[in-house]
Amino acid sequence: MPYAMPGLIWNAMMSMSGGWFFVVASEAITVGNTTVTLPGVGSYVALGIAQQNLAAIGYAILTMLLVIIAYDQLLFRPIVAWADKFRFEQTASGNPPTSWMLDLFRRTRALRSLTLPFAALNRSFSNLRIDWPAVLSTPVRSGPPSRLLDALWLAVIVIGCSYAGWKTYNYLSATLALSDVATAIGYGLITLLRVVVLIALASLIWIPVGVWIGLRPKLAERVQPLAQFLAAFPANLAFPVFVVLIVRLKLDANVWLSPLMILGTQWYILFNVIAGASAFPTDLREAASSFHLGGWRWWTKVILPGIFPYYITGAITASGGSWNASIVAEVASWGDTHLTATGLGAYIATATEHGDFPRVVLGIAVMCILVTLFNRLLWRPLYAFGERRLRLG
Amino acid sequence: MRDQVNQASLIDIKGVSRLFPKGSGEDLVVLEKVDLTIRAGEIVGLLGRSGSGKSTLLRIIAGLVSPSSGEATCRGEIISGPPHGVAMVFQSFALFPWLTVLQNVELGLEALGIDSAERRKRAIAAIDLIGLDGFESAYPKELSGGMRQRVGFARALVVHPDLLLMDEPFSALDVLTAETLRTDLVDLWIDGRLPIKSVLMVTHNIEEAVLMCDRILVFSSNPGRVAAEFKVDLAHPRNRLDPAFRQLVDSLYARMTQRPEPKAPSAEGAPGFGVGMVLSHVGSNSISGLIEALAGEPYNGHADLPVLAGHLQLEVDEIFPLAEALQLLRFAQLSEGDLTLTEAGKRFAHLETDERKKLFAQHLTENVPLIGLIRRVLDDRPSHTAPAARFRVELEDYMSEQYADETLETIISWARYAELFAYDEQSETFSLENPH
Repeated sequence: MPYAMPGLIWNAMMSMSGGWFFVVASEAITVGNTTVTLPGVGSYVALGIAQQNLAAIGYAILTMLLVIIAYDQLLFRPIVAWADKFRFEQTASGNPPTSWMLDLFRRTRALRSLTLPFAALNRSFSNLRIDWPAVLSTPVRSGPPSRLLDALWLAVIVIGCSYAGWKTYNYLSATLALSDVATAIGYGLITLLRVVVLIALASLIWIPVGVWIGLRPKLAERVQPLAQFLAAFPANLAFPVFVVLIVRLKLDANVWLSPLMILGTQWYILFNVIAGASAFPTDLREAASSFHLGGWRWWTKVILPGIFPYYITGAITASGGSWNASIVAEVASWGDTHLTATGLGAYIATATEHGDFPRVVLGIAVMCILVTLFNRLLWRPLYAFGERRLRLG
Repeated sequence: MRDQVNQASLIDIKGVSRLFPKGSGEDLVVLEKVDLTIRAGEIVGLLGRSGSGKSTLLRIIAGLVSPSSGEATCRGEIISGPPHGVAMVFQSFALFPWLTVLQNVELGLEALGIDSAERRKRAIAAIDLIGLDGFESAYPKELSGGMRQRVGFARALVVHPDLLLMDEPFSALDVLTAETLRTDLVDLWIDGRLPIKSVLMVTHNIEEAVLMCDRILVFSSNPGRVAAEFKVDLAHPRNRLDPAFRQLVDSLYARMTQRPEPKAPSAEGAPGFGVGMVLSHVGSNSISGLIEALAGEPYNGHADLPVLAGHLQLEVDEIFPLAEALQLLRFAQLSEGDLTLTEAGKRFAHLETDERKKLFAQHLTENVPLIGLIRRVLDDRPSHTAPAARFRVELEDYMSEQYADETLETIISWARYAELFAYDEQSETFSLENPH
């Protein structure tokens, strides 16, 4: 548990952002003739859209900003700063995370005494002796892992998947023809194209900016939390603002709805690039400048390989998030005006609205396969290459 | 005539100072009014302890850091940005892990606009010269430390620089590897096979400086100044056991321990004044170890520092702070490069752990004013706790933040060993209670 703590907390924090995105999206949902609205900021925004009330959208954005600041400062920062003591390295990290909230609890007597009952509870709880039945206790294994167990596990997975595949196939073939599959794949490829183009564009913008910031430690120290904060903001709250612009300026929905997909996820690229550039060793920078490496040569031989592993981490997260966002971003409305971009996200969203379950299932299956293939064929190899060849130190 | 003078002097440093801005008020002076001239055909060594600004001076010449005041010129031109004809070898090698040995070496030539065939030819020649043939296609990760530094040398030599700058090039290597590399380099230098005119090297290893250099500048710390200049007239290849060699090493040791520097403890500091004394981080185990070594055979309480350092395999950067800590705690006397145990020191060597702690605590309270101050504050306060910030602020009146941190760290580790008071890292407070 203690060993896993820093990774656990960091990922919980990152997942929280994704969580917000879809909680907001699913608070007001229409499937066929049934409309479900849960009280919350998401349904508030949905109502605002229906009533074309831009001020309401503004309030929603403001509220969300405040909520995120609050949970970031009061919950996650203190936990991250606290979890720093679980890091395995014995050497002190260059810049340990800090939190004023945590300092407050640690250094004021009043707040400290508030925590005492919890500390006592925790102590008595974690000191409880709970003996596992002998069968369940796992002795420290010395030999290689059992082949038989692996094979069994693999068999269970394969059988489970085949069964699910078979079920899906049966379900779909009852109502849909092969041409429907072709359509879905076609739409999938269009969305894929969007994701690729958007990631490329975001990289073109944010890599230079991130490098510029990352090489200035003072600036990076300030911008980094901001980028992480922006990544945590559920971008779909801001969609209506863009939709209004598209409607007013009569822009092509197919092109201009696309940027919404990356609105919330581009920050992952930015803050990972900043982290990479900040971690770039000073001696390598000095060597580069001592040998007069400048311009394009500096980018390709010095800094780009140096930040590559970080960039890939950011780009993988950003592209995954963009696929998710496509379902929400490819269809948008403002009052009675409905905008639809051609793509798999719109396909799934429209099918959901019409209660067309076979198409929903087909769309999701195609998306799953595409995303998996995209990850396996592009990101995984790039990541492995970065780890093998470009890892510093 | 004037032309000749300019040709002869490669680098001219006149009255160069370098300040670093400090968080609170005054700037930190790392380098103060340094003069230095480097002529063609010589190996010059900058010798000093960490914090003496020698690396900063090297970086000013390399064009990586600009001087705060004074004038630094290379072949008569003011240095602004890395000058042409100057190449650098780094302590940490600074090789690009994504480039092969050959690509790393060629890198130095790329910016010079040399076509690829010529580039390849020169890179191969440099690789052969430095003894790397066969490793051309290897990545730095696959090489040992010594081989990596050879790549560092090849990369610097391939541009045929007039001046080769070396920043503690052997200190990251093990003893045997470092010695091989040193002698290889000196051999190539005497044979005139190195495509360079002069070498400037930074080191904190006295023997290394005497082994390689024609001229040694000794730097003092806080602020960094040139304290003395030594000429080395011994013929190459030099023999470490040669009496003249030993003599020079001894006098360098004496020179480096001679002047009580501002950060070093003064023998009879007025009480109270000494709170502002910088304490280098020296572990209590190292202190005990040195006392034991000094008390045992063959020293019997008295040792020549170079001999002791050689025997214990300690670098200047390690032995000096240790010796000074011993002197500060009155466990030993330090003079003219000799270290002599006091009566207390001799007693300490023969005590058991608990008794040692008591003696250590007594000497700490008597001789380290800051320890006495913290202890008094803790005793006076009803809660018997005090925030570290209170003492840090006081320290920062006398020294930079970095030194204040190091001093506090030292105080904490000594006090913990002596069981004088406790420190809680999370709340950053000192207290009298030790958890039992």
